[in-house]
Amino acid sequence: MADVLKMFEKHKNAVYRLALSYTRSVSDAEDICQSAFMKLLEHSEIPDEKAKNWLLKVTVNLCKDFHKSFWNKNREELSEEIPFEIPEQGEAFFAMMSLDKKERAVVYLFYYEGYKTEEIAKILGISQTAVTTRLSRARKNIKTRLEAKK
Amino acid sequence: MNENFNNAWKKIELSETASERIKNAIESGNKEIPVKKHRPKFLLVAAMIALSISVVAVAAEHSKINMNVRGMEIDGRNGDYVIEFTSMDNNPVELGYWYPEAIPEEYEVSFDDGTFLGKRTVIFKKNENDFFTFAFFKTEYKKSFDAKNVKSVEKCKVGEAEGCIFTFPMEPDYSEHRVPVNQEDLYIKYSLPETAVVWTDAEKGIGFILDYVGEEDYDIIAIAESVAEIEAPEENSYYIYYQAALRKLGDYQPGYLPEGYSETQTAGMPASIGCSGDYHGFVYRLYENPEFYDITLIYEFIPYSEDWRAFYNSFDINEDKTVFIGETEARFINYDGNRRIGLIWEEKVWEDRSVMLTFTLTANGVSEDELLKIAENMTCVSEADSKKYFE
Repeated sequence: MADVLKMFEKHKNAVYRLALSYTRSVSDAEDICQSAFMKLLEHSEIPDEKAKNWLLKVTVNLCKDFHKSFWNKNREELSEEIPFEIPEQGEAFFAMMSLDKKERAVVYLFYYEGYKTEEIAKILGISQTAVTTRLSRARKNIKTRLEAKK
Repeated sequence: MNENFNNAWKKIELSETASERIKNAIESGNKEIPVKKHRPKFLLVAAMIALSISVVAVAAEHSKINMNVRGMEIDGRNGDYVIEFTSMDNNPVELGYWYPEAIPEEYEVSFDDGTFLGKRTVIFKKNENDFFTFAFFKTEYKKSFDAKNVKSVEKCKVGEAEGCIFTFPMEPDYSEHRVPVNQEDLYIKYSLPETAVVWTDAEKGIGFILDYVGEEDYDIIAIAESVAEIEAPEENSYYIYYQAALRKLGDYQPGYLPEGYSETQTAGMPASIGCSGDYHGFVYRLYENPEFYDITLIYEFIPYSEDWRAFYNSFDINEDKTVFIGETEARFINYDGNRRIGLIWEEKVWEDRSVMLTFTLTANGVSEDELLKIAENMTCVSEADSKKYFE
């Protein structure tokens, strides 16, 4: 039990951010975050050093399931926004959030979490080529969107 | 860009409230702590669902029950019980769509919430006092249900599967159930007799609840045994969502439209507003003229309503000013490279709950004056049912 709480304190924001990058909804991301840690509770055999990757993989699966529902497919553009004090941060964030959800997760894991493309492929359950393709496409799209803002 | 991006992400943290809630869930070891206590998905129908899902029953007041059947365990005392689904290793990738084929023909689908986090609930209704609720879910998602004031519980067989049949209320004229519905705790009082069957398909990792509220003497086990997997009726669901959204948010329509425009498309999802929380819902209407210029109306309930003004900030806004629709302050914007104009305003719908509906009216072929005229003539054709529900 203590380990799951420890893992929660350690990885809650990583899990939450990944869920947010998929759902673009604060409250849905919170729910998915909780579900992910509830699953960890059932899998006490997961060693601490593997917990983060395991949690992120579970989060991705929960997010995929979440996106299957009609409701979520049709409301993605209407989610809550997050206020930023520094405009440039907000621009970068929202440019990323305006990407396709598959690209968002890759960008988050690569740039912020610092995972290698091979590790991202394992977490997302896709090929390494697909990761690099999505990254490349995402970079191009973010650049285009940020330049259009100027 | 990378620096801004990383700094932006650093600001995104799980809120303290959510963090506490999740920690409590972990500490309690409760695998089905309501994960969305603040935001039920559909509240208008929650009363009906609550009845349907509050199926756990108790043998007798002040008694303790601990009963195991394949795939679930019932535990509790004094009319306050929990049914917990035991772990299964073979949870399905897809939930599928299941249908109780023996439900009498006079019952029509009045609600279908769509698959959401591994659960789906469908209500078959004859009238307000006579309906079936059928829920199916991946047991890995829906680990347990709570219920109060139930009358009896017995083991039963649903085909080859083991299950339990419950009756309630314990007291003839009064019943209060606390049930988690779409992660929200709800309380409901009801006096009609109710019977429910709960069973699992252990091989498939799916749990089922079939609940009947009404005074007919149906063989509910036989109806439960008729449950079969069929193709999901998505088109019907779409229509049901839209109708539910109109009931939930109210039916607002423009009393004035410029010549040549007619409604060409609608969509909607119901919101849940009330109890301890809320959930985003919207109604969308599109009006087009023969030249394909459009007027788009969206009215929605947005959780964290203080942030709604930020929504259009990500657009390419050329003009942004305050205007008035009657006495209501609104934001007028000219955006998308001067190609569209829009009005955004809020209306308080439920006086006692400070619940605001946000209206967004945009167009690409009308003037500012015309858009204002459309907004001024917005008419509530049918009030939100949920208004009276919460009064």
